[in-house]
Amino acid sequence: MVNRLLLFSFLLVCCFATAAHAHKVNIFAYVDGDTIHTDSGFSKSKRVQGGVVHVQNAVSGEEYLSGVTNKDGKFSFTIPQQAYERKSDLRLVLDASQGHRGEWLVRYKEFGGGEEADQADSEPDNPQAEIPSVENIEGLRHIVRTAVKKAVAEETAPLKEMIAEMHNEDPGAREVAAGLGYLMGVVGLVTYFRSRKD
Amino acid sequence: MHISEGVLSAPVLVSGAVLAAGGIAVGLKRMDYDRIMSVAILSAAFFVGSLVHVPVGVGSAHLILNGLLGVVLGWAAFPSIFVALLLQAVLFQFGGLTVLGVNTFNMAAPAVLCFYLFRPLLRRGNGSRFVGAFCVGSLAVLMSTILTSGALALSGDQFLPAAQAMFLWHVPVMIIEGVVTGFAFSFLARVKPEVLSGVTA
Repeated sequence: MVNRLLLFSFLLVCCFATAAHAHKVNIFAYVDGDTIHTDSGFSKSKRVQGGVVHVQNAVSGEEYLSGVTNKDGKFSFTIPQQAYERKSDLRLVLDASQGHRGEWLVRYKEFGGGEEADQADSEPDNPQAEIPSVENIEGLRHIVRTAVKKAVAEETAPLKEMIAEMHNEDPGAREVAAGLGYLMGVVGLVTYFRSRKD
Repeated sequence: MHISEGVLSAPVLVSGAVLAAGGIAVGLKRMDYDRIMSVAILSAAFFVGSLVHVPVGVGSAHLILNGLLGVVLGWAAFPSIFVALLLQAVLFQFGGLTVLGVNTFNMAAPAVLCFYLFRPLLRRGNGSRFVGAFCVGSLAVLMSTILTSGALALSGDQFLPAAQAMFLWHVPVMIIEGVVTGFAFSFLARVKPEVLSGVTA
């Protein structure tokens, strides 16, 4: 009986398991200048379309804005001014309807860090002699910083996308095997204690 | 149809947990421990079934198989589904630990209810047997959508739109599960009728 049932369950799963997607909702977000891009999906290929993303203050829960994901599960917004003023982390809550909900935290240092870095760097600990003599060093510094920031942003954009995709990984064979193993373990325990009782 | 963490209000979570605990207690009490392997194997099917994707328009739903568990296990579907949902929550991050009670009740209660509703039909000959099992398979999913929308409604969602959306979303799943349960039950009744002692008893 056991063998037959087992075989049957496996056949059943194999019949339909052409593509294994499931229902965990993910939201991933990254900062690009003054914009935050979000990417929401049930799995790698199934995007959340028309899901509502609420942007909240992570501490007080006050909602700054909300928006709807497009057909690729993406939604982008400009970082609200209040977030800069209050130096608050942002909590992005995805409501994908039917009880599906996901969260992502964007820390203040990810988007507001620029100012702090400015202040730290302006302490002249680096040898200024190496900087070509320009009348307005602050101006040059600003130009270089902006250029570097832009170059880094361009270089890391694909990486961010890749991380977003990895974040949407489906459960794989390892998790399934673990689950089946646990089940066998539970059965073993139950039978063991039953047999001791008798 | 896994409800995620942080969606439901505390009273709904607590009532769900209490109801599920009651169901599990009855299930454990009534379970024939010689059939523990059937319970575990169906638990495994339920656990893996959630990975089986059914394309629905722009989104996707997954198999639930609660009807199949109900028809074979009766009340033992409660502990069986509970363990499977627990593993799904921990390993797949579907649903969550605080919502475990509500999710267990939403899936297992229809299974048990359908089992009793259609038991007379399941005891008859080949044709009615298949029809009965088909009804259990699809109606269990239907009732689960209603219970899930109900839980969401009690926590602030509008009941009718949510229930409607969830119903339409799961129509293909209902049909597939009806067929799967129908064939599985007929197969077991022919090959290993003793597995289905719950129905005939």
